[in-house]
Amino acid sequence: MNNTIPLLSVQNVSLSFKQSRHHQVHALKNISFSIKQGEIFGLVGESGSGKSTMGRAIARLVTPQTGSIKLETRELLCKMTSKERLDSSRDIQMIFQDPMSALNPKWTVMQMLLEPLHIHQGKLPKQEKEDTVFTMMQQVGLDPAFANRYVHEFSGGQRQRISIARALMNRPKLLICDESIAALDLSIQAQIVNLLKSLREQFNLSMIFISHDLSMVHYISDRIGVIYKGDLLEIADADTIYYHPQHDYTKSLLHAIPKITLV
Amino acid sequence: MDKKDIIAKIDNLHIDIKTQAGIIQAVRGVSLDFEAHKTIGLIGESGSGKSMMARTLLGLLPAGGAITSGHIYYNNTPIETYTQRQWRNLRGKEIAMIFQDPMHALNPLMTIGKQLSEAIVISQKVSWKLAKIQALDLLKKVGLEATPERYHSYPHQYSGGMRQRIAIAMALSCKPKLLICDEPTTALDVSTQAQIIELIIKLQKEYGMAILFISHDLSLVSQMADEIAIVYAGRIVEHATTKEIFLQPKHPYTWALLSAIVHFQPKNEVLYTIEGSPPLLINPPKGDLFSYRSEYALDIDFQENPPFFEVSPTHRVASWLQDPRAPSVTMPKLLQKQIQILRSQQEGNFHE
Repeated sequence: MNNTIPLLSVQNVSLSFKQSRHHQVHALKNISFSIKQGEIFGLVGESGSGKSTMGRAIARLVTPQTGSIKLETRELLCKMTSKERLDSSRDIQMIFQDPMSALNPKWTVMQMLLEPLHIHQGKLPKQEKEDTVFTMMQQVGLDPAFANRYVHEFSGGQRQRISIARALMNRPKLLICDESIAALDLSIQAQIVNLLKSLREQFNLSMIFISHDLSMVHYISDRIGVIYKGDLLEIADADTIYYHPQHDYTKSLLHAIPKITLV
Repeated sequence: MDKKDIIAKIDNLHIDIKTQAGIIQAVRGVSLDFEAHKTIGLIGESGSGKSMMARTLLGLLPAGGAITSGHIYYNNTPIETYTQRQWRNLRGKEIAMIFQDPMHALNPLMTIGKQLSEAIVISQKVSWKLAKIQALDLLKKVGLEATPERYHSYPHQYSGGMRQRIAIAMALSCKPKLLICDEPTTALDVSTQAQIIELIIKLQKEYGMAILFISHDLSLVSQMADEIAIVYAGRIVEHATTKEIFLQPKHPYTWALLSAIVHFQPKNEVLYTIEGSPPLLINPPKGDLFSYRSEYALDIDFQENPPFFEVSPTHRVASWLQDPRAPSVTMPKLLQKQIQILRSQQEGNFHE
């Protein structure tokens, strides 16, 4: 029976930001969807559509006013003890668009990758922790010899690999990628996407892939949800969305993808 | 076609930049002609020197940068030795530029209208009153409301796409003959990107300027460029019409770039990536620098820089593979299929 419980289920989540005494922005309106174990779920929409807010709400970086978000059977939107909060933050990790501002410029890679272990597996002997760091660096395609370098010594693609490594240190169940490839060059984007796909297989990871680039989202995701102004307009298989979109907004998003046009 | 209306010309340009680590050879022998009404797309990875070329056209070399050989001609006069005063007359009036991030290009403490009018007052020496009328007209042209509220609002009150429209309006305020767009849509999302591209195409038709469009996205550039120049490690490796680049690519690096277009990738296969990373241009090794990442590299690639081989009058390639003595190689299978799809799409359009 365990298979039928989705890894993450989001139900009727609404969130609004107060702009002033009389003005509210409804960032999320009654959103429901669920993600299966090992699935990559793509969230697309234009800037300001609420796709990032959705990701941040799942990672509990913002708190929705109503609704429920469940990781397996555990409710995330209620008062938690600090122990519970620690557990849920271990299971849900996030990577961001700009690794330069997500990583600490004053720490070496080793220090940054050790920190998640200090927090969640503090009792591990030092040697074992460092070994875990080295294997993780290999798994994300970084040379372990770089462990004592600082962030500024790496290229953009390598930096993003470091933040992926840091997010995966404690084997999370869900990884949220918020526009994680938008700032990278085209060929580097492909490298990172390939990496994420292979990591999914290795770690049996589920992912939420947030982006405005529908062709990349189509390539990486199993299912796609389209968000517009806080409404989840359409959820379907990646191929269905890409080849047979139902909603007009999805069609216009698809139409906006630059296509090769030869006159 | 009669005589070409050439506005600016880059001739065998070399740029060196002095840094603490050594001298970076950022641009290593580039020649390009800019013709009125025509768009040239400049494609390359980050660090390939494409932005540096654009900045040189405006005399905006970074500290330590210098032209070591080659010339830039504007209206048949070499401009690289201009004084600051001469540059001022050229910059903005004759050659304008749109940058990647409009927020950095606009003054956050000045209203949009003031910034727009200021450019007009300074360059056209008209009164502020007249400049305001022109500025409102420009706002309308780039698709914004030409209302006093818009005129008197600040950059932070606009969205990213609107800010880029304002930057375009500013660039056009002096009716430049050459417009340089340095990744103008990279910071915007897809739907806004499509609008901005449409706007640039429309305005080019109206003003007839030459455009240099810098990007790393081949499919985006295909929508507007007449010619495409592929840049690798400070040199142009292939330069041809858009059609030739997509249908008869010759250089292995162009093949690699074309294969990386996600649109054509089968969903369950690993995405194509170019192995390795672009070389550092401090004391670069001899020969064709892409050969270090290419599976098609010949022995001579590591010894001598390939010259340009002419495939057709509009198509030149810097690759030893074009030499008559070179072994014949075929491009990757996936790319052949992609070209076939493009061909059939084109024939479809032709019949309609």
